[in-house]
Amino acid sequence: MKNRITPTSVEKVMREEDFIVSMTDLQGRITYGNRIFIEFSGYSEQELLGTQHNIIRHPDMPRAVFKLLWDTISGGSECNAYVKNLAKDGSFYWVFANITPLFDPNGAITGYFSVRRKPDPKAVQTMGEVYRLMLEEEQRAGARDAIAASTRLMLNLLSEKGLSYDEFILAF
Amino acid sequence: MTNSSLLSRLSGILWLSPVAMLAIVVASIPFRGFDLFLLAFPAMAVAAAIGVQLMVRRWMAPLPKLNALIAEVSQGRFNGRITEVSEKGELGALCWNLNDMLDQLGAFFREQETTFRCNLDGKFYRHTMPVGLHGGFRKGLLNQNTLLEAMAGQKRAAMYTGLVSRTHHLNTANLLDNLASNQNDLKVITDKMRVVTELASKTCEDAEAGKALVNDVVERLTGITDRISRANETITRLNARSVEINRAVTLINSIADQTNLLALNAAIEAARAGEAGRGFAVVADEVRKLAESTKHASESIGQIMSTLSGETSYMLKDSVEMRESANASQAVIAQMEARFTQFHESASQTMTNADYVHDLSFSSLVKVDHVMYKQRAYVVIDGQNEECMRAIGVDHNNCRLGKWYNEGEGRQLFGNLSSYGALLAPHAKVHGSVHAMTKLMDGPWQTNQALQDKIIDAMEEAESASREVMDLIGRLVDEKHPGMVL
Repeated sequence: MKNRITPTSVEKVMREEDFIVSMTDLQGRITYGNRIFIEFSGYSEQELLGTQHNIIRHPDMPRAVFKLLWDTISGGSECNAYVKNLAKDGSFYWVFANITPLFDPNGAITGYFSVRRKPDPKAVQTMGEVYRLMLEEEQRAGARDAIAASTRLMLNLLSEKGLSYDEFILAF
Repeated sequence: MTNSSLLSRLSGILWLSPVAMLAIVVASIPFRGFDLFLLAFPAMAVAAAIGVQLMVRRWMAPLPKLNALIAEVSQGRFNGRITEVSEKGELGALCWNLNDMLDQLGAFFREQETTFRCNLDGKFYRHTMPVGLHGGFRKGLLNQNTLLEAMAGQKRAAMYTGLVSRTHHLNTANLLDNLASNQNDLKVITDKMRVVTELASKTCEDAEAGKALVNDVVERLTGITDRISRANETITRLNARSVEINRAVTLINSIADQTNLLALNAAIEAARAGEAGRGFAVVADEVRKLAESTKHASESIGQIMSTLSGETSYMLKDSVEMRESANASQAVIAQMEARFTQFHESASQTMTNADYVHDLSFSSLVKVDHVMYKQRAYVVIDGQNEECMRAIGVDHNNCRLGKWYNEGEGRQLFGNLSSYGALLAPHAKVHGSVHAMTKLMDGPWQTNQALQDKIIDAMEEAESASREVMDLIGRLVDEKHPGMVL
């Protein structure tokens, strides 16, 4: 279903006073989405609930970013990332996502909690360029080595700057 | 419970009208007879009651969810939400507003917890993100950033103090040893210098005694010269006397000649006899005068001879004295030789001591250099200092010790000793460890305890290698001067 949407160049811009909140289960199926999520994604609540969160994944996003994201949060840590999302109508919207695990009283992860804020425009510009290069790398490497190749690219970039991923992302 | 009772109360009210209608229909039977048509009213009322009840039940569907969710929130759990809200009215809005409230609360608490944890882990770059949060939540997160900044500042200061105090501790312990080693060097140098001074003063004494002896010899030799010139004069005088003797001998000869002639004349006069008396008396008088002259001459010779014997005894005395003088000079010269031997020995001892003191004081200087190199490393840890940073950037081939080792006197004078070869590795390690330390100092040591431990480890390695270096420099000097070790 998600692949049938043709991306357009229409951009929706988030507002300073809002954030998108959604929750998923361990498999990434949506269990909750707030009204801002409904508004920006363009899907109804019924359409969202129970669906994989990647329903809003934009084809411009490199796969390595989501690999990093899932590796981080399933390890119990928070993950921050700039993400370009695809709305139902083909338009896109940039968010600064902060995803944290949800814990039950025994400390076991039961799902994930994602808050997506209005991103810094400078960061969007930079990360848009980084993602473009990573995507190119993924396409060049082929499906099987795509993630490894673009991850290497990102790690090289970070080591060049002498920063950890978090330091780099949070420095904007 | 509240909900079901609310719904049952509503049902009660709803069911009141069909029951009342049925009662009216039943009550009207005695007066108007049974009319089936009248039953239509209670039937309609029943249908209406059922319909309304179903609608109300649907409208109130979110109520139990709301109730359960609020109960959960009151237990401090913010993860629940109300989904599938179909109701568009106040109840629906209430559900969404509750969700929003919980989103705000959830995001707020998560931010708070995450940033505190990151701060404790030294990830000071993780501030709270107030974007999207409202009112008090936003203000709370902004306040928290101030708090986090203060905590970070305190932790940075504590980490700084920690590193500085650990390095100071390390430094003080090692510096004392280093200074003790230099102190010992200085003590040895002082002792040796005292020996050198004593030797020098002894050499001075020997030189003075030597000088006195030389004076004595000169004096004695002057005496000999005087005596020789005096002997010369005596000989000259003797020569003069021998001329006089010759003259006297000539005189005696002429007297003898005249005596001969007179004897001849006397012989002639004796032959003339007769008148012999008077003429002979004249001859006799002349012979008497001749005898007188001869007596004078022999007296003069006797006098000359006695003078000659006086001069001779003088000369004899001088020659005895000259022999004594020469003998005495020989003894003095022997003494001088002994003095000069001593003098030479003192001078060569002075030289050996001075050579040792030179090596020891140079090694002490090299040690001080080495200690200063480490001190600069500590200064760099204390706070970035450009000058010290540059100074400790030098490698083990280009510091004073390295240059001395590779090109200077080190290779030339110590190159064949076993300690010389052993010095290279620990010296290189001191520089290597300090360079490793400066590289680590570029990292986030103010937030990273493990990194700080590595910095201390590097300095401990430098100190341990440095102890070896100091020890080897000492041994190098001892090895070159085996007789000098006190």
